[in-house]
Amino acid sequence: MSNTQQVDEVPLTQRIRENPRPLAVWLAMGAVLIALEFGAVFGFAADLLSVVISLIPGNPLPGVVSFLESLGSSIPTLLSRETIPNQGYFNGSGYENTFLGLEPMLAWLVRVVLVYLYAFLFLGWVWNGYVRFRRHYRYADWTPRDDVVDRLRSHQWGQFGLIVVFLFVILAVFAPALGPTTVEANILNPYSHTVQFWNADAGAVQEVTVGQANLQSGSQGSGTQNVGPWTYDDFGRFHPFGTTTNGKDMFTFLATGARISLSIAISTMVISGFIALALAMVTAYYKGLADLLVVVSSDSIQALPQLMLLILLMVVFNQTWLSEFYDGALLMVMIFVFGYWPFLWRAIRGPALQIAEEEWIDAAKSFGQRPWVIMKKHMAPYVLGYLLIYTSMSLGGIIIAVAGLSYLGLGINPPTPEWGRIISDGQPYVATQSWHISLIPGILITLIVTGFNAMGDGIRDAIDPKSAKGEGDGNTEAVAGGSGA
Amino acid sequence: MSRWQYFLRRLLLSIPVVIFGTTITFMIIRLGPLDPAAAILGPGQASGPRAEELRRQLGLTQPLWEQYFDFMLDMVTFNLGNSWVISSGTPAYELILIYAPRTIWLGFWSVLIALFVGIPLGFYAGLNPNTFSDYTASFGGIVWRAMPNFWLAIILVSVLSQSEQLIGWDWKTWLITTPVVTPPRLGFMTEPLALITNPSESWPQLLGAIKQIAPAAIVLGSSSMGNEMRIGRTAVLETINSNYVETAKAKGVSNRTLVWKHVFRNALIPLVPIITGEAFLLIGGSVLVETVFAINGIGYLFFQAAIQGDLPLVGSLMFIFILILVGTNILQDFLYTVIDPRVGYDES
Amino acid sequence: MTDRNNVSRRRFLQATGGTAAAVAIAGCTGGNNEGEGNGTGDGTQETTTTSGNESTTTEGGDSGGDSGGNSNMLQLANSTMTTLDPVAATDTASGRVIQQIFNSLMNYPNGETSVENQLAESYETSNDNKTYTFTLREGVTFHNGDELTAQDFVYSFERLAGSPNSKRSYFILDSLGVTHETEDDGEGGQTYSAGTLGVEAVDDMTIEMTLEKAFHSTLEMLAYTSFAAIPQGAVGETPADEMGSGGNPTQAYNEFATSAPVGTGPYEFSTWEQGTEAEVTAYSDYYGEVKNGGVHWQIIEDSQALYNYGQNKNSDIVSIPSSQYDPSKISIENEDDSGRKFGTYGPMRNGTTANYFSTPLLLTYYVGFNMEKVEKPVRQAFAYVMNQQTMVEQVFKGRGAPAYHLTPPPVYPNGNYKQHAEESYPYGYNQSQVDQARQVMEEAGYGPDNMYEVQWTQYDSTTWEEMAKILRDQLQAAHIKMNIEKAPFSTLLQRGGNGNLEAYTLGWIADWPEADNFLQLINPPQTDTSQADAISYLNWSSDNGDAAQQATDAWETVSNNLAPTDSAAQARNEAYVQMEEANWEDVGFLNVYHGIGERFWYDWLDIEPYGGMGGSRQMYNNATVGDRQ
Repeated sequence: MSNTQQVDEVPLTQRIRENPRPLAVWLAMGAVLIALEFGAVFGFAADLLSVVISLIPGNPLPGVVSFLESLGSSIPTLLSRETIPNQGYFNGSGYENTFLGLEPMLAWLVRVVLVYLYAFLFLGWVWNGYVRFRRHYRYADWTPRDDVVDRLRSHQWGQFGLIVVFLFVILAVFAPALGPTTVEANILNPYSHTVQFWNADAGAVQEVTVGQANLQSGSQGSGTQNVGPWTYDDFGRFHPFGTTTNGKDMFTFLATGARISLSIAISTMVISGFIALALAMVTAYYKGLADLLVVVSSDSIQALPQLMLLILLMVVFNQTWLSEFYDGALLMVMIFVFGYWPFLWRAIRGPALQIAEEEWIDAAKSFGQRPWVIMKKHMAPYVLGYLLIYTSMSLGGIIIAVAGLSYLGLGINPPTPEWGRIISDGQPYVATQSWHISLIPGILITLIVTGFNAMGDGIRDAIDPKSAKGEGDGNTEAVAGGSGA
Repeated sequence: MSRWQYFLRRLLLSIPVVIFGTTITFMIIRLGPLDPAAAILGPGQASGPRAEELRRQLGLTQPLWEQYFDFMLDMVTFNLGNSWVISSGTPAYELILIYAPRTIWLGFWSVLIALFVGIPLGFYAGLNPNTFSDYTASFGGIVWRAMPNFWLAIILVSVLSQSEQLIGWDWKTWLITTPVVTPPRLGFMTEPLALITNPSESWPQLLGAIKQIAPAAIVLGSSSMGNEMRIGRTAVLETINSNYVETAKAKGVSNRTLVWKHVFRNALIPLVPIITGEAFLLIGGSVLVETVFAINGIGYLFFQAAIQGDLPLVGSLMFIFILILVGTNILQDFLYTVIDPRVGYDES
Repeated sequence: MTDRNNVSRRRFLQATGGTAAAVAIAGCTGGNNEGEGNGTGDGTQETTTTSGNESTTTEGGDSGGDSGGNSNMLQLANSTMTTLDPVAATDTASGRVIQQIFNSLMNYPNGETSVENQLAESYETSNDNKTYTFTLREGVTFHNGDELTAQDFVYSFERLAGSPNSKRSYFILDSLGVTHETEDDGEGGQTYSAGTLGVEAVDDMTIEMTLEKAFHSTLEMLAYTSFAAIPQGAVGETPADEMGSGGNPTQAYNEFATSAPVGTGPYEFSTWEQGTEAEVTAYSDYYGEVKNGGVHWQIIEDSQALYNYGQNKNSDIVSIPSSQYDPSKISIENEDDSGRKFGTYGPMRNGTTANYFSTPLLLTYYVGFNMEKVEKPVRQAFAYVMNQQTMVEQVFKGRGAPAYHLTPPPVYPNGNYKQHAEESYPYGYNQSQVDQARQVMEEAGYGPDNMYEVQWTQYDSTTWEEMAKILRDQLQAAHIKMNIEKAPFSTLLQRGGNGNLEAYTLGWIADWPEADNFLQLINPPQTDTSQADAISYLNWSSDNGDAAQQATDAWETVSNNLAPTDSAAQARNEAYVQMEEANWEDVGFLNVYHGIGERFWYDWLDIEPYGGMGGSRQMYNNATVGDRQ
């Protein structure tokens, strides 16, 4: 609600200059936090850069990217695998190459706890920043947004959702550091990496490629072919969630899978949210034919059964160049956007129409402001809240739908980890001792979708405590259910 | 605008929606990279003279707009054409007749289960807000809804298949012996009279069919069940706190009458879109649930047709789905028009 | 087969494509249900055979004791059937039922690889091995009561050759090579000219058949159900009458193919409900013995469902999917000369121990390379990292046979399969040599920053996917980036035919039990996808393989020695080995595994084991069903 600012207020920079201490303290805390993880931040930036560069035709700067990446990985970070290694081996009397000589399970646990501790500290730091801003720098004593925040603070259900989502996001963001092993070594290229282990029969430490170790650590239901959750395999490797059918570490798989699911869900929602917002602005502003056209096209897309539309599109475009980008993730996002924007647009059409009726819009028009300026400045901010509610409630549905499509064999190409695929892999083993393969990802999906829905509830109640819970909701509820996946 | 004018407008609007929806389907299957002729002919012949001949026969060599009009005309006149790959030469209509009853049976029970479990639970929770049972029901509903259908189905199939070993109770022989997966036998549908003329044989069959579809129906109904519960709860809460209920209470209307006459009827209104919305969930969800439960229904047929490139069948099925969904929407509008006085004012 | 005219080649192709399709689809089923995965092809269907629980349900019987009215019927399972017309069926599911209803001149007894007389009382061969004269068995009647005569066979063979519904015309026109004439088909090609087939009824009980050239497996071919006898005029006066206007089969044909098939077999057709069940009942006038009341098949595709059915004990024969299969539960009691193993499996989930036997099948699964697109070092790297033994153990829990040759063990020349592979396999016998693979790639100029990219295209099969994942992991270490792609089967074949595949997965099941049936796939001229008649998608030529000429020459030798004589057989056998070794050198096909057929059955069923031709070719009339417990 930026337009509520007074004309005569002092610029923010000047307010800071008058009282720099709170900001300085806050920045100092931030610097400490970032310093601990500077390597990772740098690496992330380098990764991002490499993606951008790889999109440029001709791939002009391969050297620079790889240099940056190696630089990033050479900077020590607190939470990296190198600082707190867990992939050591037993040498007959004690553990070697693990953190403080702890057994691999404990070493891994220490790292996980530290990562989450760090994440919560970071969260606290951000919150602290908001509080400092509110107390020391903000001009107004009170803004409507404070009420939103306060309502959220007393909304336990929403907070539960927020925490679950936060845990999940951290799992996705810190996937490389959280896994007991890395995707590269364990899943993508196991025959180029080796693992040392204590061979009790030979009474010596031996070395074997990860691939060979994997082959003998698979969970396939019967007899001795199982490595369950929270156990070690024959090669002294700790598996918090057990192994997959072909012996890969489930936790590493799932953490990376969380990245994929989350990025698809968020990209879909951002893009379709953007489309929905733009269309809502145009239709609300111009009404008439524009509105009718969008109504018909969105109704037509909604009249197609969602999941079947997704299946059909996936099948039709499966072997085209589109499916090669990011292991098929780009195609999925495009297809989801195609299927989902009408729901979002439907959800915010009503509020947008209401805003367009307001007097100040007429005033702005008569003032001679250009239509897109009116839409951007005077209409969009009011609809954004609604959009946020609906997008947050739809995220869970998309995660389910992605998993459902992967279960059917459509979606993210192997070997890139994907949750639905692992559920499908484990399906024959549900009622065997290798139950963990299907069960754990399913429980995680349930938890996360519950989290997203709870967060959506919280945001809705916070932004719009009197929101209509009747008609409009039918839409969201349907979307939140993952279109029946 | 009067209520009926509004309804009429919605009705008219559904015509372009059906046409446009079918057009989208046409564009996906004909403009997409899948070549129908190649899908039929298979090995080594996609470019041969036979392929050309087949393309000519199928009308694929005609200009696109002509193909489009033919396709649309065929659809609107219900000339659904033949399957090409799945069951070569069989009319799509016949295939649908074979596969659809199973899905209808499944859909019927999943709606029923969802309605008769979801709404009562929601109303109960709404009438007893913020009690332990309310929290249990609400939380249960939310979690239940968040579970992916296909995953729930997988777990259920595995557990029921081995219920004796896992929980000491044999689902398969309980009441009547049925398999956990595969389609139920629906012979009684074609001869409903047999229920009277030959009760000793047909009633067990009916019972078996119900028992067999129940797990799949529970899974398929799960998301809508959760929705119905949530909305039902909210609606009852809102109605209870509304002025007229307060007034009625003040007037001394008995609690029982109050609940049945005032609260429930009004609370049902917001449930209408949820109930009609089930059609969407059912049609979409049938693919996965039918795949897991091996119920060779229409969702399974669609999936098989899609992955095997049986485009005419896919087109026909999509068209039928569109009709069903648009029909449900019209039904929803109709129900609104009849029962909800608010409609018509919303949309000025 | 190199000297076939253009038209027959095309027909041949079309049909072989069909066979490959059947195999791969069976493989696909097997994939889901690896219990059979190895025993795919016929084996798949066989081990998947399970009880028809549903029928019991409707009979109101209880799951434990199916002691109702059909206790003397076999309760089995089948996958989706397409037709009951012997000349139109290409899938094993249909073939299994057809085998019970129809009889042919010859038969593979219990699906074994050697043939015996069935409807033929005796036969004679001319000196040049081109003319066969069969005398028919007396007193054989069709299910409609008509007596079997030579004219019925003339009609049946004419249908096989010329019916528009026939999908196996290449069996009689090309594989067997019965003399016939061709005419223009109006599209610039040649087609069989109706009524010109070299099959004659000398009298009511005698048939004479003339071949274009001698063929070593004539009798074996005649044992296929495609050559089964159906009553003269059963589906129309002439085969051409079977097609009505508009290119759709006539009503009469549809009835014959789906609801009223008539043959001379031990069982009469009873019911077939698409996607649900099929049933045949004992034919009272059968000339031989029928020891049970009939056979009921429940149609079940899902492997887990099949397993649950089996464990319900409604089944006489059960299926154990790989996920539920525990290798330690097998105890083998004896093994016979043809490699069949007998023993028990159990206790199973329901506490019972089942009888068990397994047999090698004439079935090979391979990874094919489009050699024009995939460089030789890459192909060799694949071969180096591939450890067939591990694959079979990891993916099938040992329920398959590692394949080193394209020719399966039962028909490998001189029974020398194992020895030849052990001594001469160049890429590590039962070894995964990642280092050699890396070395060969590095010599070709590849490295960690210069990875070779190759596309792996497979049909939807969990077994192939599992193997692909293992291979992918291994190849990653050899500087090869392998992308796994799944395609619908039709798409896979289409792209193969267009030369658009790189590495692809397929299987081949024998048309007749000899090596040439397999090795034709790696005859370089027939792998050229720019020709319409490519039967595999290798594009093998001297440009991309050093041994292409060796293979071509060897195939020439085979083609020149097709007679059923010992000296010709000797020459062929040498050439077969030459071809296998040429393939080793250039790695056109990377052979992965041979299917095995397995059967798990309860004690109350007394049934003969089957042989290498697979369980779908076994007739059930000698099986007896006791009291189910």
